[in-house]
Formats: sequence, structure tokens, C-alpha cells
Amino acid sequence: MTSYIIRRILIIIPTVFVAISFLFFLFYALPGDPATLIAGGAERNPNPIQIQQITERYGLDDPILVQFFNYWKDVLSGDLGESFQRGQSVNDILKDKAPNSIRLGIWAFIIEVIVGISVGLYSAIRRYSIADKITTIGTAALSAIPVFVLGFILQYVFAVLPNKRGWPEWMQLRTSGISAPRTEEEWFLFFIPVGPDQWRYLVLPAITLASVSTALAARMMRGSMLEVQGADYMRTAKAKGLNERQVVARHGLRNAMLPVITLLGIDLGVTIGSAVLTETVFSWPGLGSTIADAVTARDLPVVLGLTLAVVVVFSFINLLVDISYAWFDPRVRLGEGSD
Amino acid sequence: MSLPEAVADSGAGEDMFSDEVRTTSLWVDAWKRFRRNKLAIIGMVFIFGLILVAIFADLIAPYSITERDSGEFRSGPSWDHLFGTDIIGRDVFSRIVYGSRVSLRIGIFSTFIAMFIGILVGSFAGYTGGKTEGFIMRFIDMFLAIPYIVLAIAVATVFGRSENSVILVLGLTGWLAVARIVRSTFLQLKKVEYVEAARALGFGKFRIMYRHILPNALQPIIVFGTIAIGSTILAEAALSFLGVGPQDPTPAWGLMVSQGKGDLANAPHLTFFPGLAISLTVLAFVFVGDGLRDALDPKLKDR
Amino acid sequence: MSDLTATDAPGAPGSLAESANRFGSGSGELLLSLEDLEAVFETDDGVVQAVDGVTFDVHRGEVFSIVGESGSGKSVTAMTIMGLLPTVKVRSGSIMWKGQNLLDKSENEMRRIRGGEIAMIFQDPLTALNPVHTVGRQVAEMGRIHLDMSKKEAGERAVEMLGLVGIPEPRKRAKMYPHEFSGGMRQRAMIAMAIMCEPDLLIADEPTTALDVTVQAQVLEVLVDIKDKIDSAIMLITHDLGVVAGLSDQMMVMYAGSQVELGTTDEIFYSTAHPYTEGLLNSVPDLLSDHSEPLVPIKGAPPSLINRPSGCAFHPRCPYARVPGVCSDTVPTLRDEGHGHLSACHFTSVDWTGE
Repeated sequence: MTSYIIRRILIIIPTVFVAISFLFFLFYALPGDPATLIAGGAERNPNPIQIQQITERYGLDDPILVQFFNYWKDVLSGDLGESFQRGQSVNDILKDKAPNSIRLGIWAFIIEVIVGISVGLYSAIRRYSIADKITTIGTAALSAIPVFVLGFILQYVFAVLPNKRGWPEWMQLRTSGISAPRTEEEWFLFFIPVGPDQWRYLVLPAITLASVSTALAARMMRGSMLEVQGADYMRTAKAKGLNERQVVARHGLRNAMLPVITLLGIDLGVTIGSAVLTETVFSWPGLGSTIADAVTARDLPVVLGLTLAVVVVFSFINLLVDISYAWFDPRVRLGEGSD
Repeated sequence: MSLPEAVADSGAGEDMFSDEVRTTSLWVDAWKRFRRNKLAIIGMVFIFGLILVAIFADLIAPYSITERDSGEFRSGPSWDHLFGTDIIGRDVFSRIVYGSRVSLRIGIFSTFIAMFIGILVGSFAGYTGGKTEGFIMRFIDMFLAIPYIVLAIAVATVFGRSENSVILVLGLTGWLAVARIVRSTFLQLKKVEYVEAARALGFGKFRIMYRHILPNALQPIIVFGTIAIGSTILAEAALSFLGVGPQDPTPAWGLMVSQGKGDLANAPHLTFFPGLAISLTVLAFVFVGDGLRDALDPKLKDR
Repeated sequence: MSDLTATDAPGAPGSLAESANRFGSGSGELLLSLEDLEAVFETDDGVVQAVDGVTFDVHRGEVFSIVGESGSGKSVTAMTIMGLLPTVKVRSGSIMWKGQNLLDKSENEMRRIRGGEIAMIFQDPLTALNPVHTVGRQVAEMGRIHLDMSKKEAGERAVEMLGLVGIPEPRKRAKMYPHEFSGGMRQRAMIAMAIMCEPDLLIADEPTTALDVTVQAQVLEVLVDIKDKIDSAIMLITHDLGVVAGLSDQMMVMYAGSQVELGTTDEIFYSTAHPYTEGLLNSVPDLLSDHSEPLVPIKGAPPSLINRPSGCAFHPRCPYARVPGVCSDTVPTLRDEGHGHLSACHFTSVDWTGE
């Protein structure tokens, strides 16, 4: 078991290396002078002096491999570089924005797990009931609505409309930003907002971010539970005289959860994608919106630095998911057995 | 299969030739089951309708995508403009109609590219096994580790903002997931008896892969492909929303949503209608994909 | 007369069935009594007549076997007794257990009976046991549910049961998972689970089909041994006549949902009264033969249970069938050949070779 974990951790290194290097060369080695791109692209006809300045400042006339080497040298000593746009240190940007993304992500995850799994479980148990039909269509619909559209709909219904119709202030949810003013003490246990005002900023983005994953988790759970219901050991459990609740809870649930756990890991990738969109829609100052801005502004160090952080975290989370899978399923843990 | 079906199925006193009847009726059976699924039929009808709309857009759309109706800016739905007008007075309805072409083109072509590359690589990896497979899968995993959107935005930014680059991006990033699924399907099928039989008879590797395994692997591939078109359209919408896809005046639905977001309070129809178009289209593909899955599944669970 | 030769007759030296005479037919109290049970499934393609008028009794101490091919209705019968098929509809008949009709019982009452008074073990112990729980826990669960035991008590008793069925180092094994057991041991563990509450009837649905031949005999021995130890009855469901010959007292042959022959094992093996049973016996390969004779299968295939043949369900495949005639027109009723040996054939065995 431990050797497996060590192997997995070791693989993360080349993964990060390959991924980031790929992005690096993508920006550099493709047509177009990087300095021009940074200055806004050839269409904008940038000032040649400006281009010269940029080139010198960022060492852009060095051979690519030299730049590549320099970049990694800096990274390994902890320096992720400087933003082209604002000159801020990327490390600082990371420290600034990462916690916000994590907070949003945690809440989306909580919603996804609690709502998704219970809904999926319920609709599998009460198959063919009205609740099941509503769930099936509802989850399908939810997974089809683009995240940003959902975000706008929620914004409209819960923030714009109440505002227009003159509802009391406290009932309106907030649509952009994270809250004002924001201080460190206002987060309990790092992710639980303390002031009621903060809740109002958190609710809509969290629900939006959670939406697609929750729908997927519910569908997966339902499908998995339906399959489990047909399994032989469920029949055995019934033959032993267990009542429905016991059969489901003690025998069905754990088996049904197995594929869902894998999904939760994969889901993370989807969530990160949605995070970019959600953060943009709600102007939530997190990594996602920062990366999105940086990419369109060709702010290479920011893109590479933040992506690096994200890839590392993503890989570790995947590892965690795989480990917990082994905890859930003894067959994986102990090998295939003595047949 | 469930007990009643197993019981009823235990031979029906048929003659030697009934096997022939069985195999050709696999598709007929599937179609029968598919037909029963109301949602899937609705989805299919919608998709056909959408394709018709795309083809006959010229006849359906009352205005062109650039025509402006000066005097009517940001106005809501009316008889003249079914879905209202946008910031510079263009008819939203017509733009959405023409936008169907964009979405369908991108969805279908990029999925096609992704499936093609994915099936090639995945089947090869899954069947070959051993070090080659391991290497290929590691390679794929590495790229899957990059948050998909970042990769897509980055690649699209570099290739320029146009419809073709979106197709390219989505195809090149999409094949990774396809390859994984195809590979695991092939892994499973590799162990089936008739493959062993083919090997024992000395059939070459590629012949086995493409004549024997692939037809059976088709079922999950078809299902996945259908749903993939849906999710590709969704991804394209996201990319155009972020400004990375086709530019104005091309009426990409995602782009329209992004153009309308500033006026959410006063002109919600600008975000609502394109958003609805995207959602319904994706939903249709999801329903059809689900329906296909249930219809093609040989291990039908009790109805 | 049937074509059984002396060497493969039950009771002859060297045959598996020699041991049949060791176990007397239990003359204990009447536990289970089915009376003309009819059960159907309604499917899209039609009504499936799964069980068509089945009647038999099971006494304490007895081993009662139900023999038949796949689809003959034997499993459905057992599952209907246990009430484990929510989609089945019982059209008529009764299932009397200790004097009370199980069909009238509420779900709560049935749950108490399941596992508590009637226990069932299934064909494939690998899939029938939950892969994510330890074996010990699954066995102990019976005690916690039916006997209200504490976790510790149930665990202790579970270890005891595992030892009783012949699993070595039961305490260590109890902490292991099903996939870590071999096939035979898994089935023993299932048996241990089934007897935790000392049920009065143990239903075994194809308990040895998924096992190696060498292990089959062991598991069967365990079953019978246990039956004696806890003084219960066994209902054995199988398609394997070899299994039946070894340990069954009474047996019933089913075909296409109906019972075609019922009697003691000796009677059925020796004085076969139904052409189907005869066909089954003939198709069993004989270890002691000189291998010069070809195997004799029953021609044709089992019928669809939705469109059953007219008259006697077996007539399309019966070598003695009088068609057209009474065989294809009239459904045969159970005829008493003597001593309670019943057969569902219009003719006696003497009549078959008459022409």
C-alpha cells in the first residue's frame, strides 16, 4: 500500500513537468513574437519601443531553451515569476486568490456530496415514483444548462428581481465579489463565513459551481444503486430477513458508493473548468477568474504559475480519491484473493 | 437478466436457423426499445428539427445576422422580433437560428476528430497492452491533469479566435477521454472467448482489433459519442462565452450570452434566449445518448 | 421398464448412491406443505407460467430434492416460499409452514421467518456474499437481527458456526473478506450464516453448481451433517442427479413449471414412472460403463413458458408420446403408482413399451 502511494506521488512530478512545459512551449514556440503578443497582439499595432522594452525586461530574445531552463530554475527555487500585466509576484497572486477558490470549492463539494448522493440514492430506491422521474429529468436538465447561463439565471432571480421589485435588503443575494470589506477573521475554520453578509455573497456562486457536479453525482449514484439492487448479495440480505432500510444501508450503500467515489475525483476536473466560468460570472476573486484573465492577456507567468499550482493540487486530490477507494473496497486493498 | 426473463427465455423450441434471426434483430430490438423511451424520442425530434433549422436558416430567419433595426435597441420580444433585439439592434431570433449552424458544425466536427483519434489510440493501447499501453496511458493521464479549460483557452488563444480553431482545440483535447474509455472497453473485450478463438486461428492483430472487437465495442462508443456531441457544444459555448471562439458578428450562442451579460437587469432576454438554445440542444443529445444506452444494453434490467 | 443397468442403480456397490441408504427418510413432524401452488409472471411478451400446480410436503430431518433443468420452475418455487420475488403473482394454492399459510403473512412476519425459521443458501457464494464486509460480520448479522444478540455475542457465535461447518481457524477467518476464501469455504461460510439461528428448514438452491467437483461432495456432506446436528430439514434444488442420489430422501422432478414425478429417491431411481425422469437418468454418464455406448440426451429443447405445448408439456420430446392423442390433448394429472409415488403421465411405465 505504501509503495503504491509513493509511486503515485513520484509520478506527479513528471506529470507537472510535462504539463507545464507543454503550456510553456505552446505560448512560446508557436507563430507570433511573444513580445508582440504581450503587448496586445499584432492587430493592435503596438509601439515598437514598447516591444523592445518588453523583450529586454523578460529576456525574450534569449533562445527558447535558455528561457525554459531559466524558468524552471526559478520555479524550483520557489519563484514563480512576475506577472506581465501588473508586475506583481505570481507567488503573491497565488497566496491572495487561492484561498478564495478553495473556499468556494469546498462549499460546492459539500453541496455536491450531500445533495447529489442523497437525491441519487432516494430516486434509486423509489424507482418509477414521481420523485424519481422528476429527479431524472431534473438532473439531466441541470447537466445540460451551461454553468454560466445558470449563474445568470440565479443572479436574475435572486438578486436582480428582488432588487427591482423592492424586496428588503436582507433578502437579496449578492452577485459579484466576495464581500466588503473582507478581513481574515471573517472566515471561521478557513472556509465558513462568519458574517451574514458573507453568506449572501457565497450562496449563489457555490450553488452554481455545484450544479453540474451535483447532477452528475446524483445520476451516477442512482445508476450505481440500481445496479447494486440487482446484485446477488442484496438477495441474500433479504433472505436473511433484513428489512428494506437495513438492506440498503448496510449492504447496498457501500457497494453503490464505489463508482461514485471515482466520479468525485474526475469531477474535480470538471469543477475546475466550471470554477473558471463561475468565478467570471460572479466576479469571485479566485484562481479561476485570474487564470482566465491572464490567458486572454497572454500573461504567461501567471498562467503557468497558477496552472502549476492547480495541477499539483489536482493530482494530489486524485491520489486521495484513489486511496479512499481502496479503503472502501477491500478487494482492491488486499489483492484478488485466494481463488 | 431478471428471473422472469431468464425463465421465459430458456429456449423456445426453435429450429437450427433461429440464430440468424437473432442477430439481425439486435438492431431492430434496440430500435423498439429506443422507441419506447419518450425522452429519447423527444430529443431525437429536437435534433432533427435543429438540423433542419440549420440547413434552412436562410428561409427561417426573418433577418440577417448583421441587419440592424435602428430604433429598437435591447428591446424585448415582440411580433417583429420574436426574441427581441440586441445592443446594436440586431434580431436575436435570426441570430440564434444562424447560430445553430455554428454549434452543430463545431459539435459534430470536433467530436468526430476526437472520436477518430481516440478510437485509434485507445483501441491500439487497449489491445496491445503491456509497456506500450502503459506508456500511452501515462501520456494521456499527464495531459488530463491539466485543467481542461486552461488547456483549451491556451490553445485557442494561440491558434487565433475562430470557429476552426475551436474545432481543433476541442478535438485535440477531447480525444484523451475517448481514448481512455475505448481502451478500457478493449481491455475487457480482449479477454472474451471469441477473441481467443480468433487468436488461436492465427488471425493477425489488426484484423482481430477491427473486425472482431470493434463491432462489439461499438455500443459504448456510440453512446459516448452521442453524449460527447452534447458536451462539446457545451464546451464550445463556454469557450465563446470567454471570448475565445468565433468573434462578432458570428452568432455563436455562448458569445451572445456574454454580450448580453452587461444588461442582465434590463434586457434579460439577451442572455436568456441563447442560454435556452444551448441548454435545449445539449439536453436533447443527453436524452438521445441515454436512450441509446438503454436500448443497446443487452443486459436489460427489469423494465 | 427403465433402462437402468445393475451397476448404476442406486444402492449398488461403487455408486455414489450407495450411501443413500444411510439416511433414512425423516418421519419427523410436518414442516412445509405446498398445496397446488400456481405462480406466474406478467411480462411484456405474455404471461409466464413459472409454477403450475405444485404439491409436496417436507418433514423435519428429511432431505427433499427438487430436480429439473433450467427454467423448470424449481428456483421460482423456492423463492416464492421465501417471498423473495416481488414481481411474482400467486394465482392459487397455499404454502403451509407449521400450520400457517405463508401467503397470508405480512411482510414483517415473513421477515422474521426468513433466516429465523427458513434459511436459504444460493448458488454462487462469491456474488451472494457482500464483498465489502468481512465474513464474520455477515454471519454475525443473523444473530443480531433475529436473536437480538450484542455485537460480541453474535461474533462469538459466528466463530462457533464457522467452526461447525469445518472452516479451519475460524476466528482468524472471520476477519477476512469473501474474496479471500476459496469456493468451497465460501459456500461453507454461507451455510454457517444460514444456520446461525438454527432454522427448521434450509433451502439450498444449486449449492454446488459453482464449485469444483472435488469440493462438491465435501459441501454436501457438511449440509447433511448440519441437518442432523440442528435437527432441521433440507430442501435441495439442483439439476444434478448425482447430487440427489447421494443424500436425498424424497425428491420431486419438475418440468416446464409442473411437477412430473414425486416420491422417495429409491422409487424414482429404481421404478421410474415418468419418461422425462427416465430421459434424465439415461443422460447421466456412467463412470463404470465400458464407454462403448453413446450418451443418450433428451431430444429437443425445453419449451417456452409463455407458449407451452398443448396437453402434456413434455409430449414434443417424449419417445413414448401418442400423438395425436391424449398426450397432445390432455394435461396429465398426478397418478399414484403406489406408496405415494406420484407421476404425471397418462401411462404407466409398463404401457410405454407395450407397443
